[in-house]
Amino acid sequence: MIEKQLIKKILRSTLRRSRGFSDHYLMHPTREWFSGLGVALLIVLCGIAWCGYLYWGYSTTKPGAMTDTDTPVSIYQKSVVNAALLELEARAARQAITKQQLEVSQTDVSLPEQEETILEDVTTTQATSTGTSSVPKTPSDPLPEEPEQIEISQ
Amino acid sequence: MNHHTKKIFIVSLILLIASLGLCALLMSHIHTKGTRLEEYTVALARKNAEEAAFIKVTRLVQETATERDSIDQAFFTDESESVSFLGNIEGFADSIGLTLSTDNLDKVTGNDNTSEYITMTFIYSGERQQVLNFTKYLEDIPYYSKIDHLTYNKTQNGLWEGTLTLLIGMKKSP
Repeated sequence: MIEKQLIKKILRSTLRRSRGFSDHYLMHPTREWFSGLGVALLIVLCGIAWCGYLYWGYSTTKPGAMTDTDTPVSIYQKSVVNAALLELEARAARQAITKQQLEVSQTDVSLPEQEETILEDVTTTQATSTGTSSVPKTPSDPLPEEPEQIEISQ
Repeated sequence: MNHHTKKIFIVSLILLIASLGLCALLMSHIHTKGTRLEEYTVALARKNAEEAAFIKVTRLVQETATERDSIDQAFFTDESESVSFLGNIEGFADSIGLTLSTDNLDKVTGNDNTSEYITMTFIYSGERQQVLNFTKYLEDIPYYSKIDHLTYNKTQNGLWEGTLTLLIGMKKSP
């Protein structure tokens, strides 16, 4: 038989629980600890990702592969130098030929005088023939077609 | 919130701020180091390139010494070299019986304002063929040269007189 006191007790207990469980503590060490640990873990993971990104960026950088526009460029035009050397050699060869011609013509001019001196005692016909064959034309015998003046200028 | 709770809360807040500050400081430090590393990398690349260029130029200089000497001899080093050149020309003209005089000897600057020339004017007379050949002789001197002006005149005594202005390049002073 349920007594009146027991019923009241049960009802009191039920009504008290119906108001819910009242928490008197604002801080929950376990919850806060795990929350803090989660945030710290998140920061650490972000840091690891960022450091990994940096490491990957710098580890794949090769100094030799970097473009450098300030690299000095040496210019040596071999073909131009060779052409210049060939031209200089050709000039020297032509000048040597011209020099030889000038010296020969000078010898030709001076030769008849010597021969005339030597051949004074030789027969007249020989001396005459030698003189006329070797002595070049005098400047007073200009070619009829040559002009009086030639001027060339750059 | 009792006193103990407040104390823990404040300490936690301080620790959080300190941790974030330290983290920012470390990230900044890493960023600075990374930037410096990048600069080092660029400098290293430039140094490598310069070393390669230096080796290349040195090899080029060694390999082309003969050619450069030959080219070098085609220029007057200084003005005094033109005096010995004139002496040789006058001596040769005298040896072949040409009358030669030097009318002008001067240093001029080229049209590009970078090259310098020694200009000299020769007046020589003799037989026609000799004068022509001597002109050719002057034209073919193995120097970096050009004939600026040339005139032939037949004189009263039947000889021919040539007037030739010659420009010979001077080597640039470094």
